[in-house]
Amino acid sequence: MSENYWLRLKNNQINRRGFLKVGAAAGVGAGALSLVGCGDDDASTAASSSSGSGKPVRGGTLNVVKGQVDEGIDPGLKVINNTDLLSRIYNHTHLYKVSTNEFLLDAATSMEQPDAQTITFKLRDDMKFHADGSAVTAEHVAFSWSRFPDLLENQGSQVNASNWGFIESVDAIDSSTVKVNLKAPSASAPVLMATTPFGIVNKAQVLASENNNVQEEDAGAGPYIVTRRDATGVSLARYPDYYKHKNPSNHFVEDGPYIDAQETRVIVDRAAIKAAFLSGDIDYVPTINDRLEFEEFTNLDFAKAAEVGSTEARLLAFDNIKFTDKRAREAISLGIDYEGLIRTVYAGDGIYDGPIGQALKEMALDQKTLKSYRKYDPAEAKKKWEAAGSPLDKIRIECNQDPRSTSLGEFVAQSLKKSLGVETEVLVHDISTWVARAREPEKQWELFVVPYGASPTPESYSMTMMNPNAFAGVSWSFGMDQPNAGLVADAQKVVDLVEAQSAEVDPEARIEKLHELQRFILDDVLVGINMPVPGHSYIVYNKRLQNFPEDDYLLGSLFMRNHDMWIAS
Amino acid sequence: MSEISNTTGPPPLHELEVMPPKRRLDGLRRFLKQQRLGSFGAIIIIIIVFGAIAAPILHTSDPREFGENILVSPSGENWFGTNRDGRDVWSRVLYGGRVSLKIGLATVILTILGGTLIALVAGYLGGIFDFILSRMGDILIAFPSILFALTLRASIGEDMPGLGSFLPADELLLVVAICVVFTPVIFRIMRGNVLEQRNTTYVEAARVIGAPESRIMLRHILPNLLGLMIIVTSTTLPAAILTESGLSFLGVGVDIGTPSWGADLSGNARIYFSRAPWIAIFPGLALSVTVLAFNLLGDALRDALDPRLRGQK
Amino acid sequence: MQAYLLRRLIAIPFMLIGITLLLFFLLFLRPGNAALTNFGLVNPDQACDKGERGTYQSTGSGCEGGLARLEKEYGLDRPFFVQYGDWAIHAIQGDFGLSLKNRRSISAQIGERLPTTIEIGIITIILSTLIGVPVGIISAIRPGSWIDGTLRITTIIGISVPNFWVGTLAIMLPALWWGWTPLARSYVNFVDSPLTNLSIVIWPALVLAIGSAAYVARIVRSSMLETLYADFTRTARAKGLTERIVVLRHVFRSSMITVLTVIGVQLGAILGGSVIAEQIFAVPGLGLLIFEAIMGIDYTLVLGGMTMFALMFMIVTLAVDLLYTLVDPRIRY
Repeated sequence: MSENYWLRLKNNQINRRGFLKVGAAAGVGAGALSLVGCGDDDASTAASSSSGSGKPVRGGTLNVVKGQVDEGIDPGLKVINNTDLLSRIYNHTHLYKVSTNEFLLDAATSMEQPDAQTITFKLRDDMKFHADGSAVTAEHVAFSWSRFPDLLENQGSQVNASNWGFIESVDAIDSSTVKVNLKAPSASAPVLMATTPFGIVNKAQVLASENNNVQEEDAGAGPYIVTRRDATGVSLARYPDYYKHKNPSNHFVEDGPYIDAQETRVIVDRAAIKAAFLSGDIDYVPTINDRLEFEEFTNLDFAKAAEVGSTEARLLAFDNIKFTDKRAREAISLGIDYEGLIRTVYAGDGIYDGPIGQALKEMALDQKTLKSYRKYDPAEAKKKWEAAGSPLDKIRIECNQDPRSTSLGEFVAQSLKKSLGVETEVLVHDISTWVARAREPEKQWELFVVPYGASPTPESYSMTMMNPNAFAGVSWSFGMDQPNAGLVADAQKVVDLVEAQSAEVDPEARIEKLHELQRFILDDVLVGINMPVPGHSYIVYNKRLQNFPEDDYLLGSLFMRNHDMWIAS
Repeated sequence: MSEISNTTGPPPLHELEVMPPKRRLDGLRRFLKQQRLGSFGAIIIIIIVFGAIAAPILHTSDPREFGENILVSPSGENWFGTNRDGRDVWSRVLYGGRVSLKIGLATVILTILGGTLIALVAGYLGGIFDFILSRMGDILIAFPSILFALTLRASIGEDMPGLGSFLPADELLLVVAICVVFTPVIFRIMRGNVLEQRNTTYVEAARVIGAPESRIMLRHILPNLLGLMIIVTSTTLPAAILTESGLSFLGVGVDIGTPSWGADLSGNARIYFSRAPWIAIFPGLALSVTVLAFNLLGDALRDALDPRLRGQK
Repeated sequence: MQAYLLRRLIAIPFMLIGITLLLFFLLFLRPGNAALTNFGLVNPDQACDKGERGTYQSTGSGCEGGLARLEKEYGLDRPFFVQYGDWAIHAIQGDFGLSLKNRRSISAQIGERLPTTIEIGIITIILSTLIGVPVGIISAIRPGSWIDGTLRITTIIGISVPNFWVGTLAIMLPALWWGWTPLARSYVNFVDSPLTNLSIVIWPALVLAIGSAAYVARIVRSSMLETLYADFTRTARAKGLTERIVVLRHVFRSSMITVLTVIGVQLGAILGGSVIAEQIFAVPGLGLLIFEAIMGIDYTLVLGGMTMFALMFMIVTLAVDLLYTLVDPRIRY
């Protein structure tokens, strides 16, 4: 990789704004790419929030816990509750390090953007698939990235169209070159292509499988293989033929990850998870969002705790068909005691949220603006409700079993009962049923509580919730096929604004467009209410884990990797 | 539900049939004097029922309302402290008593009446009725109660209507589910008794006279079952309360937010136990004391109504 | 005796049919199931939503192709009795089909988890007998004494405290007092490591045994009191036998019948209690498996698991009834 514009940027401190600015300034026009360690130069270690002390040691088993069994390990099909596995079993052309805004090359030796709508990758030549030892080639990459529409259409894939919709086609030019053609310039494309769904899947295995998926098989070429997978958990062991990362880029280790194996245990009960951590049986506690729960883990000499800003979002979505009159939606918004929610459910530590989460910094709106949209005025709410004809006698609020969801649902139910005088009911279901109840055409609820995590791009999570072409259309009845003409016009405008920001590569302009989009949603559309969220997120982990990527863990579960984490003896 | 087995037998006929009214009150006095533990249990029950009914005036706050005083230890303001939602645990215990007692009572009334009637029909009429009903009972008994109640809930839970605010859908479903699993057991116990009575002389006499079956069942046999019914009631009620609590503990009983002794013991109670043990201790204590009181009373009733054990204490 | 045995054995399959038919019916009533929710649908009767837009469209249900294929694959489009019949035929051969949720073999999953629950059950029964019977006997020998009084109060408390509360306290209090908890972190098989396995399984068994032992003690006490004053005991005493022999040989023997009955009755409570105990102590047993299956409407798994439970129950009941003949020569079928 010789003289290249991007190399010159390598050692700069690049923040998000600068990163996008560079591309525009260079006049290349397309999404700028910050490439680290293209191959010849030695890796510079960008500051990680917890660097290890002492020399890295090989060996050991990482003990991970999950609250529920995974639903399958096909990366194109399932993304809920399996990223801890997918990130180890599968490899990617590149990964994205959220905390430092870097791209890390993995399977690819180079990633280039010759023009605004093309991205090409060159692949290594020594990668093998676990199952049959066959070589990983461009053909596999092209296949993996082209199967999304079919999976969505025919197998109810959880991978939303927003995650891959920018792809026009993916071609294997030769056995080690992949060319991705974009429909339009997309600033988020490189980041989205680093997420778990884009793991490289063994084409032969998929085609040979019964159901055209690899839900139950290990079809990857990543550093670990699956040795056991059942209802109590999953065991992973190092893949002996894993390729070497010669001249490893940041955060990849030449001889493969330091840690030898991983044990994922399924423990449903939160108290049991705590006990397991206290006795050293698991190495870290899944993200804690409750300050009080976090306090249970402080003062432990064997544990380290990290705190970051809010990484949560909680959306209270409408079944928009039942709330066609905008005043009805406004009434609901005015009828919830947001400050009360923060004081009680969040124990005083809460911040306001908008369609784009605070983790995306300047792209989100500021607290003052958001707060102004979330006023609590029961009298006004009642007036608006009646002006809209008191459309509903009973409001059902659908939640899943997660306490984050149920506490919110309960609080909203009580708030609305007090301010509007309507009957409320909180319905609780397990996750699969809850998801299905969101998608079924005739909704059996009026309000729906969705907790979700921070997204590194506006497209992931945030916009999918509001985009008629994504969740909003299917789940919140906010689509272009609704009978209400006003709703349809609004939906179209949202789609246009989303596409506009997606194609905007100038960072300042993009931020402007995102703000415009959010204001439009908050002012005119109100497809759902972004509820206040806890002010902080926490992770607690055993000190024996060295170089644990704290910030990345909290902000980027879609990009997990642990090559350079090791276990101190 | 394990207590219910017919090991101590029915009260003998002459005890209940020929006692003149005046001496019944004597019986009560005798009961209070001899069965001290049982009387103690009865008093506890009265206190608990009073607490449940009079909850609003007993220094309580809304048990569902989220509060700002979170995980406060027991104090003058919050006698049992507060939980993670800022709710007063004392209020949750008192109002939880309402839910548990209500469901327990409804279940018991339906089960005892239903089980006895079915047992009467099966035991007395015999033949094909008895066979089919007994086999149906056997099938239902083969399921562990909690799992079967869960299955029922999964099956018909969504479509369950409620009976107004008095017995909302989730509570009605609990009542139905627990009834379905308890009735076969009651049926078995009662049926044994009915079979015994069927062969007694006085029943034969009635038949010879030409009394219709229904009259024999209702006027002759049923009254003799009363003693057993009372005893069984006193053991079924705590069993029903325990089952409801168990289901609520698992998260499949009452709706979220409803105060219930079992529900309050799950989830947050355990996560915060190390610094707020009162969350888990008080509801559990309330539950244990209530069940204990009913068991004490039940024991005493059984002693009082079954002379075989009397005089052996 | 032979005839009785034969009758009981023949009854078992009919009972199983009745049980499974009832379960199947209950679960069939519900319009949705795990396979459908996995696919993103709750009720297959609802019109599938297919928009006209291009690849951005998240169709969700992807109906004609996907749903139809799904229903065909699981045989969900067949009439009730056909589905039942098919399931039953396979079940007899030990094949309970595939879990609707994650398509793993149900028999395999049950096989993994059943031994654990059986283990807990056996240990519970042993413990409750070892504790309950002596307590009951002591209580019965000296009725009215302070020992009897204390034991009676203890046992009545034992049957009153809810097992999930005791279990919770058993986990939390040691953590509070001694910084240690009996919670199972990683479960190991008995075969792999007997001692560790026992150290994990003993706790849920103990918690369940508290209620069970108390119940056994009470029953033993009351049945012994009955026999202690019965005619045949008076005869034995009149013959001049020592009190000890009277108690041990005669009274005890007839009490064993009651104990056996109790075991049979308790089994239901123990199996049911295993659901709670397994959840609290995080032990992967059959009870917990069924519970999770019910929550996830994985109804083929529910069917398989509950059938196993019912089968176990019937077998043990039959064994208990047969044991009666050993204990009491009067009982002949």
